[in-house]
Order: sequence, then C-alpha cells, then structure tokens
Amino acid sequence: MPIFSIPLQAPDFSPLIQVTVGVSMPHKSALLRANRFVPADISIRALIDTGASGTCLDPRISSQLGLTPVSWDYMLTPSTGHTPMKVDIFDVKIVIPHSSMARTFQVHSVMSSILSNQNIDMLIGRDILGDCLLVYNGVNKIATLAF
Amino acid sequence: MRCVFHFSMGILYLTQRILMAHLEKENAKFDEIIESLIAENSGKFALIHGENVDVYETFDDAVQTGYEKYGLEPFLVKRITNSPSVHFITRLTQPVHADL
Repeated sequence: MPIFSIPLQAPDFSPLIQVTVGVSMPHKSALLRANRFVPADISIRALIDTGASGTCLDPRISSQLGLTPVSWDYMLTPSTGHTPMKVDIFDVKIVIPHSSMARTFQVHSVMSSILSNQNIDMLIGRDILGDCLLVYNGVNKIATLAF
Repeated sequence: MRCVFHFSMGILYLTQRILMAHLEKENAKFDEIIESLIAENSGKFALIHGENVDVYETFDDAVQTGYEKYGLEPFLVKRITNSPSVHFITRLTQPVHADL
C-alpha cells in the first residue's frame, strides 16, 4: 500500500501535493491510432480538499493537454451563490508519484474550474479521497495519504 | 497583470465554447431519451454520439468505449438520473462551462 507523506508548510499549512496529469489512457490510444501528437504529462500543484465532492482542474491545464469536454454537470460553490452552475467535465489520467509505487488513475473525471489565481492547479476531492486513508496531523505539521 | 489574466480567461472561454458546440446534438438527444432510460438504467452512464446511444455501468467504461468506437470524434457521457447531479465545492472557485 503506497503511503504519501505531505509536509504542511507555513503560512497556511495546506496539504499540497505535486501530481502528474495527462490525457487518459483510452484518449491516448485514440490519438496514437489517428497518428496524432500525444501531449506530454504535466506536473501540477494539487490541494487535497475534503470540502470538494469531486476533483477539479484549472482550465489552463486542460487547454495545454488539448482536452475536449466529454460531459457536464452542475457545481455549487461560494461563487455560484444558491444556484448551481453548469461545469465542463474532462477525462484525464492522474498520477500521484511515489518512490516505489505510484498511484495511477487511468481514467478519471475532473471538473473544469478556475484555480490558478489561488496558485494551485487541481483540487483533489472526495471522489479520490474516498479510496484512501487521509490523516491531517496538525500537531506534527504533516498529512498522510494511504491507498 | 490583471488584464493579462482576464485576456487569458477570455481566450479559454472562447476555446471552450467552440469545443462544446459540437455536443449540442448529443445534449438534445440526451434530453429526448432520459425519461425512457431512467426506468431500467438509473445510476448508469449513457454514451451518446449523434443519434447513437449506449449504456454502461461506469463513467470509465463509457469513456473507454467512446474513444474505441468514435476515436477523436466528439461524444457525450452523462449519468442517468432523475435529478441533475450537483457537485459541492466549498473553496471559492469559478466553474467553467461553454453555454450552448
């Protein structure tokens, strides 16, 4: 079982983790079959967010990967008020790097929402956290993810 | 700096509009058939390409088949539910969607 230790750094002690995001495995296969360029995976800054019901990705990253939406849903955030707004959904591959056993999600849905103005590219939501053990140890300033 | 940010967001929005425009037909098809799908397929995922509709157990299966059958042509994957699914995000963020 891979265990990820995440140092919580001042000033806000956010559980930030570097992950890799790329086109999903079936999307990559389709690109190769069509003799099209496969965009390289991108290393991004992700915030572990138990307040997010799903994982979100900044549109700059989906644009860099040349993704097109495959679905849409509704999202409710402080910016939307009481009325849910439509949000585009992309399929991506997400890799949480580990020295011996990386955790890879070959096909994962992410919602498109603007995060880069907060200096993050992704919110890792409860759709991923639901498969792991998360410990936020504020006393020792470390968070732990175990899959 | 703020101008550059808003300009970038504008370009992104326009790009998204173009990308989503191709799903107009699929969205209309989904609206047309959702009532008939719910009875036996609630909670599953519809894969829609033009007039073609298939149902799969998971989002992953629908996406996988979508790329296998339709390659890089646009397709729509939607969860089959009575009420629209809503995602709750407590952090201040702005959802991005290209209105059709």
